[in-house]
Amino acid sequence: MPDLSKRFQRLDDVPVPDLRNEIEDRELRPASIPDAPSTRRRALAGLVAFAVFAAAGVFAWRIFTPGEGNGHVAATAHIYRDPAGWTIHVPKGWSALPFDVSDHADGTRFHGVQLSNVELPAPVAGSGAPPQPSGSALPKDGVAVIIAETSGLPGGDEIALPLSLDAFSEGSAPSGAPVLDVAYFAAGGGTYVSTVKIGAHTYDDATLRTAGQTVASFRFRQPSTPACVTSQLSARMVGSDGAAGTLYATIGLTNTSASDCHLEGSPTVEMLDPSGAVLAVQEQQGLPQGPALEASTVVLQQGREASVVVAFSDVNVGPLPCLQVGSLTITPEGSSDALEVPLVPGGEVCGGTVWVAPFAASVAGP
Amino acid sequence: MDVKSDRSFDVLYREQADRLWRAVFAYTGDREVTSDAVAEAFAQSLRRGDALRSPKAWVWRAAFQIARGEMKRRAAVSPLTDERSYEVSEPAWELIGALRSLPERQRVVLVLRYYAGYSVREIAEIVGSTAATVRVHLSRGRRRLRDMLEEDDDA
Repeated sequence: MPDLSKRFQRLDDVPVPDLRNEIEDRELRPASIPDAPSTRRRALAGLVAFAVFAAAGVFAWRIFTPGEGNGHVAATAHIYRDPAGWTIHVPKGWSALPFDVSDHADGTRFHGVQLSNVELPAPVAGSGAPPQPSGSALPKDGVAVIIAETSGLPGGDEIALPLSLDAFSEGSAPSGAPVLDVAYFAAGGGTYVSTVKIGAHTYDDATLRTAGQTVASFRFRQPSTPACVTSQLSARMVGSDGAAGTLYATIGLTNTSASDCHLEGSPTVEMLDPSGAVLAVQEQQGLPQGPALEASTVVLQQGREASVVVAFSDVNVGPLPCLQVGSLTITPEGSSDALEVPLVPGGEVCGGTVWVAPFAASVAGP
Repeated sequence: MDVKSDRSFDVLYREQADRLWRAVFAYTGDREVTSDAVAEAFAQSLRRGDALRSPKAWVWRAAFQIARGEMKRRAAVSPLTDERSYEVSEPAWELIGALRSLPERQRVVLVLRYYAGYSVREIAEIVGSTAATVRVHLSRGRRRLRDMLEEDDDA
């Protein structure tokens, strides 16, 4: 059997280019400090500021006038609340534009909100790119933050909540072009995308801080769906993996009913021997290694799957005997019936403890 | 950039650049994409300066994310070539070739585990996933990679 560590060591022979000059060039590309404005430019800026102020007045009057909404919501509102159950803070002076756009290339829909420091038309999505203000619409001092629920995207590559701009993927931008940060994440059983587009003249620490605080304020609130009951769910063994004497089994639960429901916290898990008898093991919340896992609520739309990871020691290190495991039963909180899933391949539980992680929004895997 | 940041960056580059570049290269199999992603990740870390709490973790995460995006973009425009660079030894290229036939998530976790030496928890932080998911990808990827390399050894 090939020793993978030794195989990978052969990569040390691959020559590496010196990238220092390239890095320095790239670092200087975004214009972080705009040129000092001349008197004429100051006068022009004053006129523009007045025009923006006047437009903002008209805009504010329009959005507070019943029956005359143009899609934007109040710039004075501090929190945008989406009907899907999530909220995000709107920075002072920014506007929020709910939108629903499609990528005509593949039919992917994006529904969400665009927050921006200038009034912008609805974002565009095309050719597999996430929704964003078009390059011609965003001025050089413009900033836009978009949060949108989407469909048709693969699971397993999302960043974790709470959102952090550091975890976003930033595209390279030529000098003078806006910089785009993108991240996908899971929330409430759905897949979301967030894009942050920053005009070249405002790419500075203050703007990055505002954009970072804005995306970090995204919260998914309690769902309005009922809790899933066993009769609405089917269960399958997604996979199992052993590491350092602990076996991790991932179980997927799919909503097979015609209505949405949600799963909360961790399920009750029992272990059965091959004859179906319940084994005497004690359940513990969380996983034996790694950071504490925060319990969350997962909204399961029709046909969507949530996952739960169950871990147990399969190496005998204590006085308790190891017991053969044939299957696991999963009982979601609030349900009286259990779902049974065969443990494939079979294994033994040692030490008398089974750890159960909280439900996660999606099952990742190739 | 101030003197302190300048020195910190030099240390970061000296300690991480070669290993990061080779890891990203093992993941992409493409020198151009690799250099682009690694340079961009370091440049972005410079722009962010002291705002980064863990520049090392950040630059690894950014490089893989940028490389991943670039690979996707290029794959949509034109198929990636399998042309071997003359600078890469046969055994290293054999490994890179086997890695390229794995799903992207398995490939990245294997490189981070077996070449970069990261723990499962650190890999989860770099790829933005959970430790449990990383373990699943590691297990499946390890099995498939060993099978492929065994076939090559037998040939």
